[in-house]
Amino acid sequence: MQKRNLVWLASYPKSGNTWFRAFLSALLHETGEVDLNGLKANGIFSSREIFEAYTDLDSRYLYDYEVKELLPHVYSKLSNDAAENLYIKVHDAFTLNDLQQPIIPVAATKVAIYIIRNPLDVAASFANHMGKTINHSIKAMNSYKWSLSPQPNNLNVNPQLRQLILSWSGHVESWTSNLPFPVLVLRYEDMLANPFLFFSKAVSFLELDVTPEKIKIAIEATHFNKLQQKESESGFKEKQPKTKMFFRSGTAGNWKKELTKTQAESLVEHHQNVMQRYGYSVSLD
Amino acid sequence: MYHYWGFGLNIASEIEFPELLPSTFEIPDLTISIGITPQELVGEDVVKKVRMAASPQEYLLDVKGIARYYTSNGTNIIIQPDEGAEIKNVRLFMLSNAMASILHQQNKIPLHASGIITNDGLVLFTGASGVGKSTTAYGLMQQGYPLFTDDVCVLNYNNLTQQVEAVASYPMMKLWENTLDCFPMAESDKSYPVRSKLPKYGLFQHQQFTCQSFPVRQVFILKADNIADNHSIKKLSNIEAFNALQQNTYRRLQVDMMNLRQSHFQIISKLASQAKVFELKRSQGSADITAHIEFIKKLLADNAKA
Repeated sequence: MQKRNLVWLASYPKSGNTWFRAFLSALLHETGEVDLNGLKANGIFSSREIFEAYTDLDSRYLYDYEVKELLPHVYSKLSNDAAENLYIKVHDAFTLNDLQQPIIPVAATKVAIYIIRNPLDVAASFANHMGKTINHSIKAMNSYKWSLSPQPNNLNVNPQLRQLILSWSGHVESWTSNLPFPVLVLRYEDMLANPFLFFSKAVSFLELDVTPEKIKIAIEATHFNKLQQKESESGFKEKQPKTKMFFRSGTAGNWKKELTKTQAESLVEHHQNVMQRYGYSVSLD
Repeated sequence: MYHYWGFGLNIASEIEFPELLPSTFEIPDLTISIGITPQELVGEDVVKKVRMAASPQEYLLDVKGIARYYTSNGTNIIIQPDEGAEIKNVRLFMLSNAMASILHQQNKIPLHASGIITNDGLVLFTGASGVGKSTTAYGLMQQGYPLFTDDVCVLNYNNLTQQVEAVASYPMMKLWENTLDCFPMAESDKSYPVRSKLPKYGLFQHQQFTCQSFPVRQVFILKADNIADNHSIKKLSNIEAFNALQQNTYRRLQVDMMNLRQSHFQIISKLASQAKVFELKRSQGSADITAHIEFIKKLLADNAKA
């Protein structure tokens, strides 16, 4: 019998996923402290290590379609082997493999938390993360079939498996459109404005037995300034080599200082429907 | 039957393996045949994962669209190719997964390492896939160091010399296109992709290959580093070296499934005290392979003087 132990922490890149994992880490750590390089999550869906630990195959010898066909089996087995919830970070869009099976194993999934952030703010943060220009990140966000860790001509050398992200709107819709398991959508901006209310919602959704006091301590321990300070002191292994700092500004509305009018218009033109659905203003004034 | 030498074994095979070294012998250590594999492994000591299973003396792997592989008792491999499978693909997983299981069944230790031969003895470069083991060995080969092995070697304890020795796997390097392109002066033969649509190429080294065992003198544990900006080197204590070497045995999942950690302990701990073991962190942001090779050349020269 398939166990449902998988909890997906899903988001488009640079939307608050790491912050949420830092919070979860502090919450579930006895002292309420957070170790930035040992965040509470049981890996990322695109991890080669997890894939290889369940298949005995060198993932670099495989074509992407072969990996995507095996992934649901890998994570179903991982769920069966676990005695408790496994929190798995995922940037892949919720898509089907060539066999028309969801790459995310539905029968092994307990719930998913989807964190969404205003794409206008994602753009500059994502550009910084990749060490590329804002125009590059906007092109990625507007592209229908964009991938992280791409494999051009099957050049399979990235540290992680290829992740099909789709466009920003495509990503949101893939994770929020009537999936066959419960999905809690959290807006990054709400988590910033009222962390106690929205982190408490997540805790309740995950059915974690913790006190409000512990939630407050975990929120305090993972305040953005503290994460920045920890990164300055000990570095952060999830930072991309070309990026100076992973934790950059973390604020909402910074796009007004960072994006040109043309750049902002391009994002709104491509994503206004989904932006409006989640309460993001499409007015650029 | 074709007769080959590979991984320190005399191999008789129904399938032709251009990757291996042709050889002559009377009695094979290992026989590879085409046949029907069991559907599944049965027994209390069988551990099952995704489309693979293993016990201390049996191993079964199903690579869809390519082949099923069944290995047993350290002496036999049965391959059941899938219909229409390209034989090159069949060989690739045979030389990696099935072969590793045979070595494990023989209680030998395949180490995930490339190596070169220096005046100071055998130097190995180990580390996770993609960290640059082959690139490092290939770069040093371009500087005149004879290649010992690519990707895998097999550790043995020599009772006479009381040294841990390594024997090479087989005379072919496997390098990605982008690595080959970093060495414009080298002869970068791209005529033999290891899979038909994969830009990773086999470079045959049959002419300069040695089947001889060598005592291991130095091991560099290569690590990618997202945090640091430059290379850094650290000599590991015996305990640190033991842990690092153990983490880099080849196809480590098999080691755990076949319950081999305890039996590996003795040889790996001897190697940790016999060889100088260094951790070499290489900034992932540093794409300059020439600087990386020069850094290692200088380390080798400094270590030779010490």
